Amino acid sequence: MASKAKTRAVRIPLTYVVALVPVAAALNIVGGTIRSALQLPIFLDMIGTAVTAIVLGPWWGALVGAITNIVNSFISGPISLPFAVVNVVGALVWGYGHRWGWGKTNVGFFLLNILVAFLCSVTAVPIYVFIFGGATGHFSDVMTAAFLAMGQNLIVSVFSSNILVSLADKIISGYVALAIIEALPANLTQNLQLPKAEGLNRIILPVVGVVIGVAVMLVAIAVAN
Amino acid sequence: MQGIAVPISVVPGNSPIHRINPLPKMAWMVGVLVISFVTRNPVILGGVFLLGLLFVTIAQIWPSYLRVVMILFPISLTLILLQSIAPAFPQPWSPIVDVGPFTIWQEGIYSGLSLLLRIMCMTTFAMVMIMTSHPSDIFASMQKIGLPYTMNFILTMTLQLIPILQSEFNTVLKAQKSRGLKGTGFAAILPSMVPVFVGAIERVQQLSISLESRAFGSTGKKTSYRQVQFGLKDALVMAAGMAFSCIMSYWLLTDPTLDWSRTLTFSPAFALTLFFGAGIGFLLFVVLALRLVLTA
Repeated sequence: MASKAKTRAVRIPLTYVVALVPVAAALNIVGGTIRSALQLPIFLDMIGTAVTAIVLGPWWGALVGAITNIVNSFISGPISLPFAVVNVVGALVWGYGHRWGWGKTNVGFFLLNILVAFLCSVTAVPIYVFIFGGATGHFSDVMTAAFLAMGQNLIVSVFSSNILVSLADKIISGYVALAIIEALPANLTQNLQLPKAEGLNRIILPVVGVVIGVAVMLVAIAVAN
Repeated sequence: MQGIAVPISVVPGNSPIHRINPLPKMAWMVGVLVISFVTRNPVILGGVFLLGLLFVTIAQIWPSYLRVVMILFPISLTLILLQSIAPAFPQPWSPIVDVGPFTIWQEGIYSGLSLLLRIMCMTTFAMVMIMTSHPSDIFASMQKIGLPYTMNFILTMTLQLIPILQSEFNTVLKAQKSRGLKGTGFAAILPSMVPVFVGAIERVQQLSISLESRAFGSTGKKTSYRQVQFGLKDALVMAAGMAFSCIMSYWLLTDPTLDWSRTLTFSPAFALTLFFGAGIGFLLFVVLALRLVLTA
């Protein structure tokens, strides 16, 4: 594996990487605009991170994630800065997950995106709770209030609402990244072993199924407590 | 929250704050960040926030600053609401009043107000820095204090690419709509995003060749087109910012009487007004958001 990574690093010149990182970070930031324009209830701010982590490697993806939130703090204010850690974690999981061969098949890639969503939520929840008091400014705060009303504590409630949004966001982002990677020049993607990109229409149903399943499980746990 | 995209940029002007080098402004910003995390005393945080508003007034950036505050409005409401009923604070908590299945806690109101003021302090000083300093000046100053030029290039290039990619996305979306594509919802993601990214990758190849031809990555002293001066006045402002941060932090850490979390009490009328005000505002925001999603 290490020799394969070394070969890839030699083939792609540093100037190409230095030029690709800003493009991926800018695409992450523009994801916010795209989300607003398409009126979507998810973030779409890690697609560039996923593409870079899979194509160039986990640490280049992590750099894209960190740059995204640093530059975003110059655009939308400093509240996005602490979430750089979440973006970095997402890049490392996508990058190493792919490097270790977890995303070779369609089912494997789907599960890899679920793992990214779970670990991103685990990283984001302490930031939401201890810096923003559990508030996200997103309509998922309604779900947080509902879990609180069911008797859960703040950390569990914020995690419960965040994981639902995160699952939908990271699975869809993963498959959009897959479609983008498929459209990239062959010299960048010839070593990659990935499933064929599906149309999003075929992905939405499993995504909805996973989100509803997790929601039911979380509510059952809250009621049982 | 990560997806919020508000076009904040430098507000042209010639105020005393505009004329200061970005580094002293950064020192003030970092200093206020430290102070905001050292204390939860709402009066101290309120005082620092008012100082920030004084700087906003001197810099004459009120309209742009208010746009940012409006973006923070929903998160402010939910922060107050969630903290009132579930404080991010060590137990035990003292109840003020019961509202249906919820209890409003003294520590919750205290925590909500202090967290909100903390966010406002950090945002205000960051906005003063960002809105009164040209991004190129910020990055040139950071290079002077040791930021590698490769990183500097990546940061500057990212900022420059954002409006270009936004414009390309709008063009692609309009072109797809003119061919009968639905312009909203999940079905529109791939047809609008893939062409933008692939177009950007073609730009990367051109940029890469351009960088190679200019010997990017070679050794030697790097120079910058944009020169940023650092004079005596800047040094004094920077020293004042660092002294303010150090003295305040020392005072806040060593004086236990400044912890009002268990002594400050709020009346039920105040707590209910805050809770229902934030709740109604939050529900209005949710209804608006749901309407947007359902019409997608």
